[in-house]
Amino acid sequence: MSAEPVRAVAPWVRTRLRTAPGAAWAFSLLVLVTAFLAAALPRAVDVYETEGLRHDLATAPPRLTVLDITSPPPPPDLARESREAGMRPDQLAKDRAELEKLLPAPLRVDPEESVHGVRTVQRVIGLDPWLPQPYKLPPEFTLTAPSGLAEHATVREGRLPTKADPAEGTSEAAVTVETAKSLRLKVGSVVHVPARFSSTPLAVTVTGIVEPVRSQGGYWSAEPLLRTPVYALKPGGDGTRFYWQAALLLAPAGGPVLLSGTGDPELYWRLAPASGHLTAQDEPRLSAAIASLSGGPGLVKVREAVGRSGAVATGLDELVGAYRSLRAAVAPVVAVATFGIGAVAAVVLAMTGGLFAGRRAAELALLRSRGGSVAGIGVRLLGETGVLALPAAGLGLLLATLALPGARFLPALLAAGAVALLAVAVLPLRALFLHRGPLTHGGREDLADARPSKGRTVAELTLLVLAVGAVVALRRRGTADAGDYLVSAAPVLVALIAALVLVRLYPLPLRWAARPARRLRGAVGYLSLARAGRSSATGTLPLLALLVALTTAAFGGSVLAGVADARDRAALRETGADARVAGNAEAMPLPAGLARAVRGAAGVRDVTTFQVEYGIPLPVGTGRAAETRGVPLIGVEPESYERIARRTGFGPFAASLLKSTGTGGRIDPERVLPAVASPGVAARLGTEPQEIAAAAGTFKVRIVAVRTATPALSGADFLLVNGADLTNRADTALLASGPSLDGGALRKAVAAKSPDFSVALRTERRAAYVDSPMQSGAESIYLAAIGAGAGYAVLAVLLSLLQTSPERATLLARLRTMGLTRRQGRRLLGLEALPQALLAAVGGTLVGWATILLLAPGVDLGRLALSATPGLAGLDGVPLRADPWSLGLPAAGVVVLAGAAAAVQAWWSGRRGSIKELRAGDAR
Amino acid sequence: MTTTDTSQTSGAFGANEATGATGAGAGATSTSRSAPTSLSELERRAAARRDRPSYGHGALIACDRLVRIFTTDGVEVQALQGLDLLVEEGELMALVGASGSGKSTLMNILAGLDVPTAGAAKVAGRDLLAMDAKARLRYRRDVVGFVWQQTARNLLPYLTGAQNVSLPMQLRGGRSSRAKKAARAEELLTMLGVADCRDRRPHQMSGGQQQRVAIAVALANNPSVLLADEPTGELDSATGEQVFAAFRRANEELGTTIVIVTHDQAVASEVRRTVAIRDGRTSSEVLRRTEVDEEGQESLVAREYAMLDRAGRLQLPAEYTEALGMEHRVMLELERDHIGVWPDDEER
Ligand SMILES: Nc1ncnc2c1ncn2[C@@H]1O[C@H](COP(=O)(O)OP(=O)(O)OP(=O)(O)O)[C@@H](O)[C@H]1O
Ligand SMILES: [Mg+2]
Repeated sequence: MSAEPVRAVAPWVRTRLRTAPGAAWAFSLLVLVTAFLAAALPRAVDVYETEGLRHDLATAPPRLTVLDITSPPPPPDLARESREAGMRPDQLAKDRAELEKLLPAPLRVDPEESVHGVRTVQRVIGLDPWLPQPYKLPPEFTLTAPSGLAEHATVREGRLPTKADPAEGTSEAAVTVETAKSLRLKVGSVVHVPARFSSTPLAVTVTGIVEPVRSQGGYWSAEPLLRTPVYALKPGGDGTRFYWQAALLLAPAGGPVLLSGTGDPELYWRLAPASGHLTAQDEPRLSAAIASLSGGPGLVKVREAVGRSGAVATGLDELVGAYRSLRAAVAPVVAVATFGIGAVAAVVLAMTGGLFAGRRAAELALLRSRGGSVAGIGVRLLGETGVLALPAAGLGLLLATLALPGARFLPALLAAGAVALLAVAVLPLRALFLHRGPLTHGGREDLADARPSKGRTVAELTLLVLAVGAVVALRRRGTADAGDYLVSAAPVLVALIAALVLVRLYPLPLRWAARPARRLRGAVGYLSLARAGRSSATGTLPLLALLVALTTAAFGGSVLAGVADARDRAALRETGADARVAGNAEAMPLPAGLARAVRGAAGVRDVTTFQVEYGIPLPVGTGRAAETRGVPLIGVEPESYERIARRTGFGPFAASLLKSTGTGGRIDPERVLPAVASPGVAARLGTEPQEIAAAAGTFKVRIVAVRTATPALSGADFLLVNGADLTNRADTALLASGPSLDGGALRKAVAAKSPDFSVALRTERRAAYVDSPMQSGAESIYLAAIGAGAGYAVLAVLLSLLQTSPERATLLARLRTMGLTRRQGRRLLGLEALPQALLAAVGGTLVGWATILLLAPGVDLGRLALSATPGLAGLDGVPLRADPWSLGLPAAGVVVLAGAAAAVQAWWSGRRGSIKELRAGDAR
Repeated sequence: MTTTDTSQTSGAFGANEATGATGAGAGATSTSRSAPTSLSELERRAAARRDRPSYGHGALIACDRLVRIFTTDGVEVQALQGLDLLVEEGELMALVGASGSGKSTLMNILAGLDVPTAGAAKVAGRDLLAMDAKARLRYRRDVVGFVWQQTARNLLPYLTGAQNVSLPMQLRGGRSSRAKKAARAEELLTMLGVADCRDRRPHQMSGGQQQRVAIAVALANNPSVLLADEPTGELDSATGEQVFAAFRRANEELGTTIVIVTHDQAVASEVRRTVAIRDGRTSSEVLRRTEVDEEGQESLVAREYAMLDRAGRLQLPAEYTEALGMEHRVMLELERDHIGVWPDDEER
C-alpha cells in the first residue's frame, strides 16, 4: 500500500486538511489569536494589578509603609547592667531576627532599608550656645543609635562613630551633611544635651559627617529628620518663632547612653516591607497580616519577642486599603470590556463553525446517507478541528504567557481552554445538529422560510425572557453596588435582547416596503427588498456579534473619553489656564517685566496677572454660615481675567461687575469694593458690605456675584476683587493661555527674569494623572478591547457575507442570464446588504447608548481618571456619559464595511464565469 | 445482447400482443360464481388463506399502499398516494413517470433517507416504517446503495476514486483491514471499467466515469439493492449507455437488485421490467421478454400491463376512458378468461 502514491483508504483528517489548507490556516489563525487574547487578558489584568500594588507600596513615602515596632527600654527596676544589656546592638539584632521570622506571610522584610536601634522619643535641646538659635530658641535633637549606618552612609569627613560610654554619658555621633551645614557642626564638635539625674550633661562628639546612600529609601526617609534638619515653627507664641530640629546619629553602642538622658529612650525596629514579591492576589492576605500585626495574634507574638509593651505602628493598612478600593473601582469597568470582547469572540467562533458546517452541508449529507453515523462523523469532525484548534490554542497560550510574564497561569489556561473547547466543539455540534437525521436527497437549500421554526422561536423567547429579567433586576437593584458579573454582562445582555428582537422585527417593514416597490420601474429595488426581507433566519449571530462589538466599542470609547475629559478638566482646574507662573513661596511679587516676557513667549496668546493673598480672616457678616477659615483674596485685572475664566469655563463673570472704583492705592477702610465670591464665602459675608483687613489693604467688599470656581485658585473658597482698587498692589502670579504654547520657551523666559518663579503647565499636569499602573493598565485594556472588538466585528461581517455568498453568486448568475447588467448586480447586492448593515449600525448605537444609561449610575470614572484625587473644586465625580464619537464612528464603520464587502463580492462574481452556478439540478 | 427490440409500446394499450390484464403480482381474486361450497371446501380455503404467503412474500422490495405527505408552510403535498410495488431479488428494473410524480420521493424512502407517512414498505426483510435510527443506519450501510443524478454530488471532491469507494466501508466500520478495503475498491473499479480512475479525483474524471465510480461506491458494502435516481440524466446518450452497461454488469456479476429511475427511453427499453408511476401511484408496467418465433428468429416482445392493486383497483388509461366516454362508473362483466368493461348505458 505504502508504495502507492495515494492511499486507497483515505486518512480522514489529513485528507481534509490538505483539501482546504486555506480554510484550515485561517481557522487556526483565528483560534490562535483568540486564544492569545483570551489568555492575555487575565494575565494583563494580573500584571497591572500586581504592578499597581507594588507601585503603590514602592512609591508611598517610607514613613507610611514601614512597620514601626517599638518597645520601651527594660524597666527601671532592673539592675543597670541588665537594662543596658537589653539595649545593646547584639540583643536588638537578635530581636530583629526573631521579629522578621514571625512576620506573617506575605509580609517580607526588605533588609536593605530596615533599621533598628534606640532613639529618644522626645527631642532633647542642645545646650551649647554656639548652636544656631535664630529666635533665641535652642535647637532640638533626636538622638538615635541606628544599626547599619556604615552600609547606608558614605563618610564625607572624619569617621563613623564607634565608641560610647553609658557610665560617662558620652557617645560619638555622626551627622549628615545637611545637618552639619544647618547646625554648623564640624568633626570634633561636642554637643551637650541634658542628662536626667545629673547636672553633667551628656556629651555627644561628632566624629563624622556622612552622606546618605539612597536618601529616599526607608532607612533615611521613614524619619526624614535623620538626614534633613527642619526649620520648625515654635508652637504657641505669636506664630513667628522658628527653631532647628536635627538628629544626631550615635554609635551603635550608644543606645544605653540614652537611658541617662531626658529624651525617653525607646527601642525600635523599623522594618521596611519588601514589595517585589507581592502579587495582586496577595492583597487579602496582606491586609489580614497587617491587621494581625497591629492588633491581633501577630501583635501577641511581637510582644513575646520584644516585651509586653511592644507596639506596632504602620500606615501600610491604609495604603493597602486604598489599593483595594481602587482595584474594586476599576475591576467592574474592566470587566465590562472583558465580557463584551469575550462574547464577540465566542459569537465569531460560533459563526465560523456555522460557516464551515454550511459550506460542507452537501458533503456531510452524503456521508450521512452513505452510512456515516452521528458519532462517527462527529469524531471525524472533532479530529479535524482538534488537530487545528488545540495546537493553535496552545500556541496562543504560550505566546500570552511569554508576552506577559509574572501573572497567574491558571486563569489564562482556563480562558485559552475555553477558546479551544469552543473552537473544537462548535463545528461538530453544529454539523451534527443539522445532520442528526439523514437529509433526503434533492431537498431544496434555498428555501428562505419567512418564519423561523417553532423550536427556534421557543428557544429564542426563553433566552429573551432570561435576558430581560436580568436587565430588569439590574435596573431595580441599581448598578451602584458594582462588582458582580451581572453588571459587567449588562452590555452583552442588552445586545442579546436587541439582536433577538431586531432580527424578528426588521423584516416586517422591509416586506411592507417591498410591496409598493414591486410597482416601481426597476426590478432591482424590489428584488433586493424582497430578499432582504426574507433572510431573517440567517442573521441573529452576526447581528449579535456586531451589536456586542459596537456596544463594547461605544462603552469603551465613552469610558476613555470620559477619563480623558476628566483629566483635561482636572489639569485645567489645577493650573487655571494653559500655564501658570507663580513664586516658589507665598507672596512673592512678580518681577518687573515678567508679564511682558511671558506675553512674548512662543505660543502665548493671552496673559493675565493677579495678586493672591492667603488666609484673610473673614468677618462674621450677616450670613449664617459656619465658621470659615481664612480665605484667599485675589486681586485681578477684570478684563483679561474674565477672558481666561470664560475660556476655561471656571466661573466666568461680566468684567463690568468688578469695575474699578478708582480708589486704588488709597488707604480708606470705608470704601466699598465689588467682589466675586465662592458660595461658602458669600454665605458667610451676606449681602451687606463687610470689612476686610488684609495686607493688600483694608476696605469693605460687597458681593456682586457668586461663582463655584475661578481660574486663579483650585480651592473651594475665594474672594475676588479688582486688583486696581487694592491699596498695596503686587501681582504674585500669572496665567497664560495659548493652545500651542511652548513650555520650554516659557520656562526660559521666566527663568531669565527670576529663579524663584516656576511654571506649571496644563499639559504636564495632565500627563501626571496617569502615573499608576492600575490606571494605565485598565486604559490599555480598554483600548485593546475596542481594537479587538472592531476586528471581530469586521470578521463577523465577512463571515456572514461568506456564508451567503454562494447563494448570492448563484442568484447573480441566474439574474444575469435574464439580462441583469453588472451595475445592476452591484446595486442589488449593495441594496440587499444595506438593510442589515443599517440595522446593525442603528441597533448598535441604540444598544450602546442604552447600556451607558443603564450602567452610568454605577460607574465613577474619578478613580480611573485621577490617581491622587486632589479634591478640586468644581469637579465632583466623573459620571459616564455617552460619547457621540464612540457611538457613531464604529456604527458608520459597519455600514461602510458591509457596503464595501458587497461591492467586492459583486465585482468578484462578475469576473468569474457563472457556469458552475447554473448547473441543472443544483437545487440552490 | 443478441435480442432486437421489435416492439416499442409507447403507452399504446390494447396493442395486439396484449392479451388481457392478469394483474401482475396481485393475489388471485377471481371466485367462481356457481361453485358449491361445502364445509370441507370452506375449511380448505381457510387453511389456504392462512398458509398463503403475505403480500410481497419472497419479493426483495415490497411497497404496500405507501403514502408520503409533505407539509411546507402549512401546504400539504401528497407525493405518494398509496403506491404498490414489488421487486424480486436480482431484478434490474426501471421506474418512469412524469416530473413530480413521486419517483425521487420513493427512492428517498427506499434509501432509508425519508420515512413514509403511511403504508408499508419492506426491503430485504426490513420494515422501513418500524426502524429506529440505529436500524436505519445499519440499513443504509448494509442493504442499500445509491447513485444520484448530479454527478458531482455522488462523490466527495477531495477523495480519489479508490478512496471514494473505500469510504462507505470506512464509515461502516468493522474488522476488514485497509488492504482488504483497497482490494475491494480496486475490484469494483475494475469490474465497472474505471480502474484508471483509481487515483483521480472526481474533477479529473468525465461525467460517465464519475457515475461509474459512483456505482462502485454504492456497491462498496455489497448491498442487496442499488437505487439510482436518473443516473444518466446529466450525460449524453453514448455515455449513458456505458453507465447503464455498468449497472447491468453489477446486476449480472454481483446479483444486486437494481432500481433505476429514468427519463431515458433507451434505458427504459433495455430492462426487463419498467414500472410507470403516475400521481404517486404505480399505474402500469411494461414487461419485456425475448421470444423465438417459428423461423427461430429471436425478438424482444414488450407487453404493457395495467396495475391492479390489492383492493382490486385498476387504473384505466385516460385515452381509453375518454375514447369511450367512460365517466363515474362502468359496467363490468366477468367472462371465462377476462373481464369486460363497458360504458355505463343507463346514463345514455
Ligand atoms: N421536501 C419536499 N417538500 C415538499 N414537497 C416535496 C418535497 N419533495 C418532493 N415534494 C413534492 O412531491 C412531489 C413528488 O416529487 P418528486 O421529487 O418525488 O418527483 P419526481 O418524480 O422525482 O420528479 P422529477 O422527475 O422531476 O425528478 C412533487 O410535487 C414535489 O413538489
Ligand atoms: Mg426526481
